[in-house]
Amino acid sequence: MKQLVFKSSKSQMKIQEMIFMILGLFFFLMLVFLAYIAFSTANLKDIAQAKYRDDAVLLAAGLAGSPELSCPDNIGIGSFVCVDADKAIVLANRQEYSKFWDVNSFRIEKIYPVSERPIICTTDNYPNCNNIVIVKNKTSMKEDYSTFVSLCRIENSENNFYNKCELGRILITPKIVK
Amino acid sequence: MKAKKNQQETIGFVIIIVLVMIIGTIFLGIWLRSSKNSGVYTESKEIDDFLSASLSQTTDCYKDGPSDFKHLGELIGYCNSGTEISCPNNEKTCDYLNRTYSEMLQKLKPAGVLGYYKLFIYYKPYEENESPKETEIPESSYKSIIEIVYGSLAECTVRLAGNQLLNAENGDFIVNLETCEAK
Repeated sequence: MKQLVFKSSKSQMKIQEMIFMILGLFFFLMLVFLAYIAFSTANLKDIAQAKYRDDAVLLAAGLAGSPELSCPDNIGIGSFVCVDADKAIVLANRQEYSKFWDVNSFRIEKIYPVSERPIICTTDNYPNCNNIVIVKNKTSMKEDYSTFVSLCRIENSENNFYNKCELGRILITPKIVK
Repeated sequence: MKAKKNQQETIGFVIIIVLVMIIGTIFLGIWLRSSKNSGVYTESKEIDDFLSASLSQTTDCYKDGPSDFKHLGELIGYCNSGTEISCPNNEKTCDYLNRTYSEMLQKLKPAGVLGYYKLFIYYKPYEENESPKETEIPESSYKSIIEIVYGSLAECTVRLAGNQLLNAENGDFIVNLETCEAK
């Protein structure tokens, strides 16, 4: 009888050991799995944001390349996105075009040479201004996406006309923000 | 007596498992952090766009008359050949190029708030009897034109880079910008 009790407690101990081992292994695997899930979902969010951002930047570049805004072929050097400021000012703040662009907001900003304060462009103050607002939707509160562009216009120097290009940025807010 | 010994063994075993879990978690954390800051530059379209748009910017320097203002990209060629053209305040072409890019990078922060950036403009000659795309020549034959460095790599988080290539006589001008967001 005594031998049976001893054997039984030894077996119980073995079972306890096994249970502890299985539990430990289970918790460890759970931890690794949770870490993997956290890592992969964090990456997924980054990838989705990066993709959305790339799409928005491509959209901005696409808008700049549209015939309504693009520069003549002979301007500038190399491959670059160029916006004709003389065309853009004609399209600024025209509500009838807001559906045509299919974005919540769309503006072009001259960023270099740097200006002291933002000045919205109108046909009266152009080119002594730095913000050409093409579309401004009042409900648009989301973040703007931007891409660098060349902002070119025809300039007059001592009765000689030439193309003057400055560094600009197109800022858009796409319609669907996920 | 034996049961107590077995209990001790079990406790020891549990302690080992807990220790392995803690150490594993620490290593996993370190690995995840290091993979995010691995020192590798990622190609950035934003930086490519910044460089291409900036190279097309019209400067105040002219060659044949006041209506012949040159692009920033064209100044690279003049700087490389040592040809001086008319710039405001009699500034030298290379100095104008250097100052303009320094100002732009300081004020515009093309890839966020930067802890470090390096703008490197150099001339890469073609190898004889080879088309430009097949060219593979040692870096020692590159001729440095402008190098602007700011900040320290120790302050780095996300590293982004971009470059632009301008055709030149018997070679290319390569404009390369490496940036790193501040911590």
